[in-house]
Parts: sequence; C-alpha cells; structure tokens
Amino acid sequence: MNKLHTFGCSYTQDFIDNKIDAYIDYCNFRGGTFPLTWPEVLSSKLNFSLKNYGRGGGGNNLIFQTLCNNINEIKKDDIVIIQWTYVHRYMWVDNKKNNWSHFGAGPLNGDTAISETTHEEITFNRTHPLYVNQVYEWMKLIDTLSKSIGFEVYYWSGDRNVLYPLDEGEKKNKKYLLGDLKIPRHETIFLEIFKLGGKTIKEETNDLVNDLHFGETAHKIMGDLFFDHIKNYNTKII
Amino acid sequence: MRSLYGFGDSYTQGHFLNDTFKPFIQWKEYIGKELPPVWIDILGNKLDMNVKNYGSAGSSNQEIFHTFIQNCNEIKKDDIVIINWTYIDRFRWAAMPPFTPPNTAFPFWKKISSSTLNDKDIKEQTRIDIIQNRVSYDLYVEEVYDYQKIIDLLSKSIGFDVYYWSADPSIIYSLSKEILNQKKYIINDLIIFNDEKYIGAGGYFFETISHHGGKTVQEETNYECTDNHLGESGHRVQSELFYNYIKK
Repeated sequence: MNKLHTFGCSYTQDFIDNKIDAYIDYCNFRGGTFPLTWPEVLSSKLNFSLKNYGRGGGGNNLIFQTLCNNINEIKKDDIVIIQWTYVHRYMWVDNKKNNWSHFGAGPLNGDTAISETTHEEITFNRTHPLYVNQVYEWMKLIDTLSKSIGFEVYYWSGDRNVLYPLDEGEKKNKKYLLGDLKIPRHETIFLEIFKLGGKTIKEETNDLVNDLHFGETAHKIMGDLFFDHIKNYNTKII
Repeated sequence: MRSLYGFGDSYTQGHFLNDTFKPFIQWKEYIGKELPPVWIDILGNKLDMNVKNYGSAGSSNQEIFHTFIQNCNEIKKDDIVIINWTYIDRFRWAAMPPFTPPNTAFPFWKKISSSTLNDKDIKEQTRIDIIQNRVSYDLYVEEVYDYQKIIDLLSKSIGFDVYYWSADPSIIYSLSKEILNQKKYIINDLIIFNDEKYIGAGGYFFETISHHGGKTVQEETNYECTDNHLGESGHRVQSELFYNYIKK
C-alpha cells in the first residue's frame, strides 16, 4: 500500500498527537471524539496509509529536519505533502531539558531558555527574505529527490510570506497545492477554506473553545480540495 | 570526464580562491613563488577527474549544506563528492540594512563565529548566546547527520560517491567506532583519538594529517607566517591519504 507522508506544524499535526487543553476541550465538546484531520481525510480518499509528521509550534527548520530524518521511509509512488510555516519560528536548545525548544515572534511568557533580547533579535532577523529563500532552496533538493526516487511532492504554506509571493505562472506548477487559486495579498489558502464553509474550533464550539485551528468542517474541505488537486495531476489516482 | 566536487570551509577552499587573505599573501612572499597546490586539486589530478571546488572560507555547516543544494543538480553518476563539515559554533545571519558593506550584492548571509568581533549586524550578546547554545549541546551536531541522511539518499539514487570529514572533532569523530567505520567517513581507519601528542585547533582530523607528516603554514615557515591552515606538505599528505582511501 502506498503511503501519504505529511510534514508541517499544528496545521498538519493530528489532534491526538497534540493534546493541548483546547483540543481536549474540543474533544469533550464533541462527546469524546476528535474529528478527522485533513491528512486523514485525504489518505482515506487516496486509499493510502498515512504517516503524519506534523508537529505543533515547530518552524521550517524543524519541518525540514524531520523530513531529512525520515527520508528513508519515503518510497517510489508515495505522496509527500510539506506544509511550510511562519518563518520567524526557530529552534533553540533548552539547557534545562537538553532538547529542542521552539520559539516564534511574540513574548516568551516566562520561558527562560533564552533571553528576551536575543529572542527578539533572532525573530527580527528571521523576517529577512533570505529565510524564505532558504525554504525554496530546500524545495530544490526535495524536488530533485522526488524525481530520482519517484515519489510525488506537494507544498503549501501557512505563512503568507512563503510560496504566496511567487509569480502567478510559477504557482500554477502542480507541486503547489491550490496554487491556481487567486489568494489576496496578506492572505493564505485558509481564506478559501473559510469561504467554502470551513470553520475553526472556536466557531464550531460557539466560542466555548477559544482556538483558531481548523475544526472538523475545515479539515474536511481542505482534505477534499487537496484530493481534487492531486487527482487532477496524478493519473494513477482513481 | 568525471567530476570531483568539494564542499566545505577554508580547509577545502584552499589558498587560491581568495587572494586578498593577508596570511596567504604573507606566505606567498615568504616562499617567493606561487603557492603550492591544494589537496583537492592534487587529488583530482591523481584520480583524473575535473575538480569543482565550492569550499568557502568561514562557512558554517548550514551554509556548506546550502551550497551543496545549490549545486547538486550538476552532480552526475560516478562523480565523487567530498564534504568537509566545520566548527559547530559557526552560523549564518541575515545582513540587514543599513550595515551592508559597499559593493556587496544585497541580500546576503553573514558568516558569524566565535572569532567574529564587533559585527554591526548582530548584537554582541546575541552572538554570544547563539554560540554558547550551539557549542553546549549535541543537538546541533545531530542536525549535520540529518543533512547527511538526505545527501546519502541522493548519492544512492543518482549514483555518485559521497565522503565526509570534519574540522570539528565533535562532528563525525565523536561517533562510536561501529558508526564511524563506514565507507562514507573518509580515512576513518586512520583517525587519531586522544593522542596527547597532537593537540591542535584543528581537532583529530588535522592531528592525523600531522601524524603522517603534513605540516601547517606556520610549521613550514618556522612560525614566520601566522597562518595555521595546512601548508604544502599538509595538502600533499591529505590528498595522498584521501587517494589511498578512495582507491581501496
């Protein structure tokens, strides 16, 4: 059975792997079940097994490192979907835990793994377009591997600074999921999902759970749209 | 003709690609003739391969990896790639206006390390914090092994040979003997461990070169030149050890 490998941040991660308070509340609101996420909707429609490597709060470096670390799991005819995230996010070793901490723009909220001033300077430096270009460089390598190994790779982004500024012709390349949509400046494909009726957790729970990640409806729409895109370009998908 | 690709820092770049580096000018004046060949050129000649040297002095491991990515499309079956990892403290930092030096194409990455002083693009405390974080934990070394995984796969799928070595002893040479003993770690069978006779800034790799008779510029010039990169004998020894290893 072919496999669908998904990489990204919380926009990709499975609810069950990310038991934050808001998700537990959402689960309770729904009577004790989590809805299917878009990777689950998509893998089911593709009839592929799923390996979801998404990790909430992670930055693009983590996403790329996770791909490198698991690259040997990806085989010919598999499908890989990489969701890039906010460029300001970065990795830092927490000296107390000796593991990676993941930070992004905004206050540290008492985290002492890094000083406020260093954190601010790093996140400001990461607003530089070079960090976006770094993502495009990784994509070149992934594309080369995709071609030589024979897996399909698709990209999308949760950060309006990544992929969306590419010129319209380039974005029509099949590797950019929903790249042919006209997304207004300063928006992402989330806008399209919401236009089609997708709702956030907050909306689905009538503001009882204050979380702006996708709820069931939005995941379903995104999974369907991605399926249509892939089916459109991949003749092996029935 | 097959190609031999080199990626790394100054230890791969050698002394020809930058003729403005003062210690190399001093060395050239001292010997009174053209500087000797760099190990990769000697090796390319011995292997009868076309040399493509993408080494760049002061590069960090991130930058070395990115230079590989930028050029990996030209690597063909049966080519050889030799990657020299560098000191873990080094990192790259986006240069921000208005401190861009004149006549420099903007935007560009700045090369920052423990020896960078008073750089206007990064606060001193930020530089220290980042370096301290990088040198204190093996997780930054693990990043390099993650890069290797993807390079190894590309090597396998395209059919080129890839070899790694490192100027930093915490990379490659801190692996267990079972893991180190892989073909991709060039001259892994010769590397010197914990020999008090050879303590130098270059770590175990350069101690090995020294053990086989390779000297630095400083040593070859009786310390009249200040540079501690490899001298004529050092480059010759490195190329010979690499050649013998590759031909095995």
